[in-house]
Amino acid sequence: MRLVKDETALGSREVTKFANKTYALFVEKILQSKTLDDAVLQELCDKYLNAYYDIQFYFLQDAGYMRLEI
Amino acid sequence: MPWMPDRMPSLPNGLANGQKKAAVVSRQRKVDIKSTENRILSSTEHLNEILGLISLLNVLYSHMRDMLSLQDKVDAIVIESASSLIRIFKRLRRQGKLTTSDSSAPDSPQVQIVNWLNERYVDLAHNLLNLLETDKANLQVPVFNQSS
Repeated sequence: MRLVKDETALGSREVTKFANKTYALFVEKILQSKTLDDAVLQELCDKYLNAYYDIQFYFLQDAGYMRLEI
Repeated sequence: MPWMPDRMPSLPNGLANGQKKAAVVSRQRKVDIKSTENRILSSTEHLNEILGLISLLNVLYSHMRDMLSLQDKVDAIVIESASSLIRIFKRLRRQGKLTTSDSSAPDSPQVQIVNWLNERYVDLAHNLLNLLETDKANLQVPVFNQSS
């Protein structure tokens, strides 16, 4: 998440653009991880997904386009 | 037959041999990580050392995961190298070293360095995300919350 934040904030463009390329990797890993700790998941929801609309929006968007192994 | 002790003498501080060695290795690694970070940030000549830090994220965990006595030390090294790499790339990004100017020739050394750094950045992201596949919360939390 720190990488995504830095990439977004320190991007080369004049207009701030969300670093969705890196974030999409993160979303994919979160959704496919079978060992994600409950406390970590809770922290993700409390500190990021329920706190920032852009993170929530891109999470849903990336999850929608992802190929999940079911 | 010469006299032989029936057991190995204990170490003065009460630590088992492996633990003591691990503590020394851990201390050295910590110093190494910090000094490597400083070297990388001080000159482009040392950019190659990024590879060494990235390998610490990966190799240390996969090869030493079964050595329980070393586990805490290994985790600390992984977390330390992750923090270090995040700081390095943040600094490089702030200095504009991860992007090329429009006027640069595509095969110039400058562009090649930028491309190489961007590839290492992707490596870092993948290695960090691999920590989410470990079953250890203390390694998963830093993926969200690395201090800058």
